[in-house]
Amino acid sequence: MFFRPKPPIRRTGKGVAVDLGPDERALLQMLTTELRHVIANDADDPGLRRLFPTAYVNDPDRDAEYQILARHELIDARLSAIDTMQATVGAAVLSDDELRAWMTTVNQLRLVLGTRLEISEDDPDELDEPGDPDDPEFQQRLIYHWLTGVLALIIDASLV
Amino acid sequence: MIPDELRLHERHPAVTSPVGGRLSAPAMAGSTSPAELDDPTTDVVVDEDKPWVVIVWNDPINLMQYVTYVLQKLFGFSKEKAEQLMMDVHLKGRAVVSSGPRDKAELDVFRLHEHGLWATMQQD
Repeated sequence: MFFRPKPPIRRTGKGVAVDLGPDERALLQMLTTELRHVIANDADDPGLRRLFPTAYVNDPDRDAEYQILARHELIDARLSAIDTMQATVGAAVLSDDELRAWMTTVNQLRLVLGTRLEISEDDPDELDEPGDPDDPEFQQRLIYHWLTGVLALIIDASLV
Repeated sequence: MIPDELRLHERHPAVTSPVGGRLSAPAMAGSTSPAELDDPTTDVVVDEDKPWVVIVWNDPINLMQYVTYVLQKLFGFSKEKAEQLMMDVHLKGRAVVSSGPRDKAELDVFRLHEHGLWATMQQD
């Protein structure tokens, strides 16, 4: 048998264990604080467009109506998930509800960061190469791909 | 072990009640007449009886396994069915994931938006 390390986010008998390090938790805290600020204060920021998609493609009137009804609910739901994640960002064990909040929040972070980075179909799902440290977006790309890994762990630990 | 609690919460329209009274439980049950929902003067050319379809579109950011997970969770699809729809989205650019009256479609679109998927609705 080979030694297989336990995934840092995994389901146990007592909930979902989270073995992230202090730096990773601090990064999640920082990213979610920034995201919360933008959603709460500037939800019209084009960088958030993937968080508030169009519902009726060919019917602007109905879409406007949908946006009026749905937008505040979406904002509230997003902020609530962020708050739950921030309250548990240091936790060693998460409940299923908390894990769900982590999932939607990490996905929000990926959507916003991916929009900012203009991620396209041509971008690899995983970073095979370290990338160019001189690229001004280098660090954001590293974070984006790290978030991809975190989200994959969360999904693996989630019950359908 | 059993995700019923989560699932019920996700799937019960009265609990989520996302966009006001229009998506309330009676409307979901299909008992509400379209005439009560729409101003007739603005909908002369729209046949409300025609079913609406909910479409999920490909996007380069959402993870394939995330899309599969959300489809399973929101619609109760088997993993195989959800994966098949996800692959349709991925390879063909779009997939119809649900259909029905406008209220139901709009609720499904909202739940997909809540989960960050790019979903739209149109009449079939």
